[in-house]
Amino acid sequence: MPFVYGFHSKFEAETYTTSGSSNTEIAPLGIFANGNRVCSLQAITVQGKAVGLTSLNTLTFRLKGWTTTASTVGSAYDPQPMDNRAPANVTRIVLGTGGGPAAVSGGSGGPKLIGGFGCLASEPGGWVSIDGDGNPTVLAFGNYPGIDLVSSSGTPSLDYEFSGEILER
Amino acid sequence: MPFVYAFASKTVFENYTTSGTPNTEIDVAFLKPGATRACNLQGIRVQGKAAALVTLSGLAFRLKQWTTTASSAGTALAFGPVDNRAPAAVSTGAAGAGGGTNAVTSGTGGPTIVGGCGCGASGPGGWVSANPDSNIILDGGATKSTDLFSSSGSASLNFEFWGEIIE
Repeated sequence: MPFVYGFHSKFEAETYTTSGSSNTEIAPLGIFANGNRVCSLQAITVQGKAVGLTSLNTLTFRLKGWTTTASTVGSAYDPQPMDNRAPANVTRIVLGTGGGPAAVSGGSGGPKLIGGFGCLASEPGGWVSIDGDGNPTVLAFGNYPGIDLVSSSGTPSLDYEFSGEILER
Repeated sequence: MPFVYAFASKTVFENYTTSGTPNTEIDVAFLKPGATRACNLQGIRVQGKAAALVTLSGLAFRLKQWTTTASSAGTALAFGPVDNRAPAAVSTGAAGAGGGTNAVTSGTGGPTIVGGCGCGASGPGGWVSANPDSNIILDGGATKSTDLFSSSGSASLNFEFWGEIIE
């Protein structure tokens, strides 16, 4: 039976923000394997958090797999088990320290674009793996050592938050 | 176990744009099977990328198959395995070079419309196969392609797209 763990940007900060420059990427989240289970990302949800916005704007998010080293620079957290009987997680995450436009760093090799989705500036959005075979997978050794979530928007500095689920087996 | 690969318009260009003429299709991208494995499209996600738009508009996307010769030209899409232990994809594909309203060179025969989806000008949308039997499939070695077409009632709306294939 797989073990499922959740994480949230609120672990670190209330709000994250896209870049102050149009169509410029920021990686607020890094996911990496810290042990030898197969670790798969199975869902990400995002929520645009605009306040009093009077025009329609868009945020896009991309999933990138690093092929040599994972992003590990940022504020590190342990995803929390959905079923509290699960053993301790081996997948860890890093979040841009302090929220806002802060980014994680340290990934190298590639990256390969392995998914994406988007949302309105004041609406929800997200991505769910179509099936288990479609889960982006991180492994401590080889494979993708880490996956980053990258944000971008045509209108600068849009606020959002995010959460996600990781499956380990 | 099947191999799953993702592709994204961003590997070619930041923004794609619907036609400058309302309700006019652009053949934005295509997928073509390799010689040895069938190419199963199991999902497409699209995102309207309006910035500071003050009216509501929609984008429509259609999936069509050229049944005699495959589409060509454009700039090659990169296929990233969602599990990096997978072998390299044998399917190929491309999107209009340089983004914007640029198109690939359409194939011939048909085309057969095999699916569609849409999104708001600043919202998300997409299509996911209801089950594996409903994947949009081209057999290995087929000289055919599955193409993504865009269209919108309001001219020149920006978007990007992502998708997944199974081999």
